[in-house]
Amino acid sequence: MALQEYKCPCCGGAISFDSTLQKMKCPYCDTEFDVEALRGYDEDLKDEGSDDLEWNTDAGSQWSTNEEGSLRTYVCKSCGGEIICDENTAATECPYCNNPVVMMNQLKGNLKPDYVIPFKLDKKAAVEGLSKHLTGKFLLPKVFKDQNHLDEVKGVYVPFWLFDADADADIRYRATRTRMWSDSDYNYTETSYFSIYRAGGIGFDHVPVDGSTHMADDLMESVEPFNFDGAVDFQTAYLAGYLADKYDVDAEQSINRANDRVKASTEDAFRNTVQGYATVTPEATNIRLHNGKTKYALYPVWILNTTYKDEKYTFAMNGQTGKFVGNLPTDWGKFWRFGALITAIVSALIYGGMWLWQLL
Amino acid sequence: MKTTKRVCSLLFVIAILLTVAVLPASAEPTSDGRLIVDNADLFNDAQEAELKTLAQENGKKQDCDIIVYTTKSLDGYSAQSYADYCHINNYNDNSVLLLICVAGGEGERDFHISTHGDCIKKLKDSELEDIKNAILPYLQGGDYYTAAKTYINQSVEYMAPHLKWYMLPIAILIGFAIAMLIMNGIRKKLKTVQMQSGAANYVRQDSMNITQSRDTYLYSTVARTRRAKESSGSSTHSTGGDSFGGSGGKF
Repeated sequence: MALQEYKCPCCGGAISFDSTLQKMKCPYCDTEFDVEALRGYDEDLKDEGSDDLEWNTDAGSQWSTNEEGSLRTYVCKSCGGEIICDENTAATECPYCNNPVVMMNQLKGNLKPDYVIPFKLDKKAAVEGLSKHLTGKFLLPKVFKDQNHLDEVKGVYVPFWLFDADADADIRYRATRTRMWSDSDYNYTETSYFSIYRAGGIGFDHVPVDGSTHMADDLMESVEPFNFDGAVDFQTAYLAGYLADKYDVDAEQSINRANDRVKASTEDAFRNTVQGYATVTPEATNIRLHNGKTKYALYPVWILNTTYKDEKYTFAMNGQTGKFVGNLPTDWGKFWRFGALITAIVSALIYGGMWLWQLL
Repeated sequence: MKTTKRVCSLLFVIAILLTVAVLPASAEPTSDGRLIVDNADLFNDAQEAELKTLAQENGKKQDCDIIVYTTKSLDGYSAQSYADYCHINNYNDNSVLLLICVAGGEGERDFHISTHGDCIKKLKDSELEDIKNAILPYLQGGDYYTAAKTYINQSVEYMAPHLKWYMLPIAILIGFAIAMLIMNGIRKKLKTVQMQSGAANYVRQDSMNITQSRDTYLYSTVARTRRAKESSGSSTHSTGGDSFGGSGGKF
C-alpha cells in the first residue's frame, strides 16, 4: 500500500496544505509552494509509492475476520511508526510524529475524485465557530458552555457524489379560490375550482450526496450548501494535513437521495408558478430526469466532538463557508421555569383582559 | 237603519280605542322614589325595613336603584309594561325593578324583572333567567320576603363585574399554550442538524422554463351558514318611548 507524505523540496520536512494561504507550506522552514507547481512532483510520487510498502501480514492473526477486512496498517515514512486506520481512510496524521500522510492507493483509478474544494477555514476558525455557535442560545445549559471540553477537532475531506440532472415535469393541480360575503341572516362562502396545468423543465448542478457512512447524512446535509465555484481539479496535495475518507457508499446507492431532493425542488419550483389561489393541491405529478451525470468530489468539513454528561455531541463546520451546525442539549429546568413564568404572565394578562372587558 | 248601526259601531270602536289609549296612561303606577313599594302588603314592617336597607346599601355600590314593587292588580297593563312604567320619572336612570302582582290564582300571577339604563347591559338575558329561576320557588311557596331578598342579592352579584368560574382555567390554559409555543420556538434554535428538504441551492441559474401553463376554471359552489346571533347580550324593548330590558313569568 502506498503512503504519501509531501516532503519539502527545500528541507525535507513533511509539508501540508495551508487553508489561509491556499498553498502548501512547510512548517519547518516556512517555504511556500504553489499547489499547481507540485502537480508534476505529485505525479512522480504517485508511481513511486507502491513498491516499498507492504501489508503488515504477520499482525493479521491478531484481528478477527471482521476487523481484518476493515483495517489497514501502514508504516510511516518519517518515523517508521505503524499507522492503523480504516480501510476507507485516504489521508490522516501519523499518531507518533504528527506528520500528515496520504494513502495513495485509496485515491487511484476509479477512486480518484474529480474535484476537491480545498479548506478555506483553519482549525482556529472551527474552534471559534463552536464558541459562536454556543452564544445566544438561551436554553443551552450554562455548564455545557463553561465545561466545554473539546475532545477532538479534525478537518475531514468528506467524499460526496455530485449529481447533475435536467428535470422535465408536467404537473396538474386542483386549486380553489374563495369569496366570502354575508347578509343579515347568512354568511356565504363561494368556492371556485380550477384545474391548473404546468409543464416545463429545470436543471440542477452538483447536487451533493454524502458518500461516507462515517459521516452522518443529516449532519453533512446540514452544513450545505457548498459553493461549487470554489472546487478545483483534484490533487492529492490538497489532502496533506487533513483527514480524508474514500467513499464507501457508491454512486448507484446515492442516486435515490439525489432524485428525492431534485424531485422535491422541482415540485416546489413549479408550485411557485401557481399563484393567486387559496388552496393548491397537486393531483398528478410526472417528473422525468435525464442527462444525469455523476461526479466524485471531496468537500471540506471540520468535525468537532465534545462530551457532556457522558453523551457525545458532534458539530460540523463547512470548511468552505463556515456554516456551523450541531444539536445542543436543552436546559429543561430553565425551560419549565421560564415556561411557568410566561404562563403566569400571559394568563394574568388574559384574565385581566376578561375583567376589563366586563367593566367596559 | 243600516247607517245608524254603522255609525253606532264606529263610535263604539272609537270609544274603545280611546279607552285603551287614554286609560292606562292616566293610571300609570307611581312610587315616589321608594325602593320597596309594597302596595299588595306582602311584607311585614320589619321585613320591609330590612329589604329597604339591603336595597339601599347594594344599590349605592352599583350606582343604581334596586326596586321591589308589589301590586294587587296590573290595571289592564301587561306585566312588562306595568313594570317599565314603574321606572319612568321615579328613579335613578339606572335601575332594576322586580314587580310582583298577586292578582289571580296559582299559576296566573305575574312577576317581572325590568331593567333600565346601565342595568340593561349589566344584567344579561341569561343572568335574568338565573335570577328568575332562583326566586320562582319562593314566589310559588308564598315566601315573598326571601324571593325579594334573593332577587336583590343576585342582581347585585351579577351587576358587579364578575367572571364565570371556568374563565380562570381557560386563561391559564391559553397562557400555557402560548408559553409552550414561545419556549419551543426558543428551543428550536438548539437543533440545527436536519436533512435538506430539496436541492434549491443547486438549481442551475435561469434553467427553469415553463413551456405550458393553463389555468382552467371548472365550477363554483356556494355554501351558506346562518349567522350566529348575539347570545350573551341583553335584549331590549321600548315602553313609553324609553328603552327597557327584562324578563318575567307566572307563578
